[in-house]
Amino acid sequence: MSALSELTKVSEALTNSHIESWKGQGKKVLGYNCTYMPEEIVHAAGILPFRMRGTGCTETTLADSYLATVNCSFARACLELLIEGKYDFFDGAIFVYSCDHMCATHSNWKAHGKTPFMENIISVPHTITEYGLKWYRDEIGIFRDKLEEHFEVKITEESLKDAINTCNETRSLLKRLYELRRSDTPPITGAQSLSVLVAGTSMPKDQYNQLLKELLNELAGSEGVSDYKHKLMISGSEIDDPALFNIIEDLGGLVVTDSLCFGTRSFWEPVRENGDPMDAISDRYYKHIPCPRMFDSYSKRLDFVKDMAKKADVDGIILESIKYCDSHGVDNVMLEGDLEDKGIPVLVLEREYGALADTGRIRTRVQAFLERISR
Amino acid sequence: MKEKSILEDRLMPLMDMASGLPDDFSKGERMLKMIPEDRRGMIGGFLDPLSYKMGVSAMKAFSSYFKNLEQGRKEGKKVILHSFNIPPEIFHALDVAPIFTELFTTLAVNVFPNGAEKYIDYCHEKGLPDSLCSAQLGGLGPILLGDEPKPDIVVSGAPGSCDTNSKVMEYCAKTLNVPYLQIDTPAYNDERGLDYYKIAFRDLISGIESISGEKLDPDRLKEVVGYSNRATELYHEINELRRAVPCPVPNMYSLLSYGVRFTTVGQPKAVPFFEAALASSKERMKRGEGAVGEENVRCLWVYTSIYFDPELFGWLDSIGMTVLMDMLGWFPVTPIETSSTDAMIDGLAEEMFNYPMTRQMRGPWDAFDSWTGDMVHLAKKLNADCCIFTGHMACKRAWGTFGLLNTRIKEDVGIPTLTLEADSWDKRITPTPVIKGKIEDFLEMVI
Repeated sequence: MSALSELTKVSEALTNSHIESWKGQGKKVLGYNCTYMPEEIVHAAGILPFRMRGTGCTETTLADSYLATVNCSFARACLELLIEGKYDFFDGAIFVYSCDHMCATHSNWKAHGKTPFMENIISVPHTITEYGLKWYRDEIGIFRDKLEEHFEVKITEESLKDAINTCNETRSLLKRLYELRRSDTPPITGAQSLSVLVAGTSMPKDQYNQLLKELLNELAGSEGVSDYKHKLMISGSEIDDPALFNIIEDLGGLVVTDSLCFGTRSFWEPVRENGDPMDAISDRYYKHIPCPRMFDSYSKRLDFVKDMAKKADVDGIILESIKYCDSHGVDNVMLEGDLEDKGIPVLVLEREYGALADTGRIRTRVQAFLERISR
Repeated sequence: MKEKSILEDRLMPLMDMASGLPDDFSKGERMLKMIPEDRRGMIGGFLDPLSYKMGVSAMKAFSSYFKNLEQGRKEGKKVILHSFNIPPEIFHALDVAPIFTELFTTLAVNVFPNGAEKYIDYCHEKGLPDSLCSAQLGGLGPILLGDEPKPDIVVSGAPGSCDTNSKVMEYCAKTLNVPYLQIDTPAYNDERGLDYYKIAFRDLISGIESISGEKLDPDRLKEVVGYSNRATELYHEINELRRAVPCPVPNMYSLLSYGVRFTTVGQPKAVPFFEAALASSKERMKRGEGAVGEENVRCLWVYTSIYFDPELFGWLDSIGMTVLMDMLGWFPVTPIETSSTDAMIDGLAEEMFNYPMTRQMRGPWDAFDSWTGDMVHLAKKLNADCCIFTGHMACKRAWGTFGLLNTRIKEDVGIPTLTLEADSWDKRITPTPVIKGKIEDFLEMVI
């Protein structure tokens, strides 16, 4: 099996052979919800961090009894899978206060009592300040202590440095993948890339890094995609299912870069490898490419989107948001204005999470957008 | 920009009229009765001789607030547009001219025949999502449309307790190209959380000082905090009276109290309102009377109220429902220590940390002083028979944990809760007759 096939397989289901093997060795898995959760700390504890997603969820009947229809469908899908028992392989779960939806999901998740280690939410400041950095550093320090206590492990400076090195290697390999995607004939589609990224949050990092190296070797000799009309960037709310990418790419677009929390926002910046590891981790995670949940960082987000779009030489940008995600919803309105002012065509697209319920509408809008770019 | 702003054109004349009502009820009654019954709105409630002085005092307080804004604009003071959850004391002490978005919206829905619909719809036309809060859009719309002058600074206290509010304020500042300051709320209500908040609060003051050029004057601050403390003492005294059966505190007090709290607390005009509310409630209690006449049911509104139809309160009176309180009226704050400037700043920070919604919506549902903790406490303390939840579609955090709250109230207090899907500022979502029908059905079938 090729590395790409293996990684795609991992992304298509919640569990996979790597997790089964991990659990078979008596090792633990900890679910987490957001890019503001420092996975190095979990790695350093010898625990596998698994980024929550709603893969395979086709309805949210159970979750709707707890969350409401005004809560985003990603949050409801994750809670649904918890209630259905699909997350029973978690030995613990940690939430950061990404947004109001996730805060409510944390409360309901905790109230269900199905996950053995379920700590308080990590409170991430919404503004960038010196005292905010200290607060965040303390928060992840408390999390580290709780992790050590519950799982009876010791997180040493050495193990943290090892985890930083491993995670930085992942980041570096993914950057190389994104560089390949910038060519006129990228060796991998946007949908395939997303699967590769999702796999990285669902399996041990050392095994993932090995597969990534194999993938890069495979791609080096491949022919590349040339039958597309326009190179596109996608930016916005949580996406872990390639369905939206498939629609775009079936219509002649090719997604070559992104500003997504399963994409560049999760790996673009490394953790510095010198100095106190906890300081380095808190600095990187607190100040990384910001999600719109940071209310004072719009210009940094805009600059990042513009920079990524320029580097990948895209013809247009799709700004998507999950219905009821007001943070991305409002940010996309601001981004639309600023990007269009710079002459970059933009499509603002509201959608539901996961396998698409409204494929027809999205197909029509993307088609119209591609026609607009072609004019 | 129009020749006359909404404030000058519509609000000030109304405020002048209302604040010009005589102190003597018999004279005021004659004047009020000259207004057609269907046009009296909330001030129809002032026709109760015991509530009259309280109502007129509230109007005088609101009037002074708007005069301060109008005067401030004329004198070139910096105008601060802020979210509702920032205590006005700090603005009064800094001698700037504050106005909060939700107040504009609330007044618009009561002044214009179609409420704030024009302004809400305009924001949607600009591309803003329809899942945002009408409370901010109704206040932002007039500024974007040029019906109201743009502020000099936008200040938000919502980060950490409401993403929607925070995001709209961020959009507002960016679109208007004015400085944006905000205070971040941590998820935890403990001492560490409060210490963080105190630093952030000082940071906010420095930011306002730096942009406005005003400096916090310790003497002025002491005066403001003195008035604020008096209002707080009276507020708590009134809350104690609310425990009595029948409840002697009028339903209208609920809305007016936080209207005054959000605007003029820290100024002399706020104190007579609370004094009048206390005196009239004590008098009723002495007579053994309830404020709604025959009290059939005591209801705690566990979230916001309905603001687009003040007549609803008259109707609640008529069916004998006592509105014990709604969440926005719950200020678990204590008088502020005035021994030093630092102590007063810390006290104001702590007050803001415990402001409604900031306190209840910031963290896990099961914290002691979370939404759940507060509402269970109030339901027990105020002897509630039932609760009502008015869920606005913008309130993702509240809707997301309401199921947990509902269960806890049922289990711990043993009373039912009515769920009303309603937009408190936009009657198009759930009109008054539907709200009345749901409440009637609830009372008939459950209570």
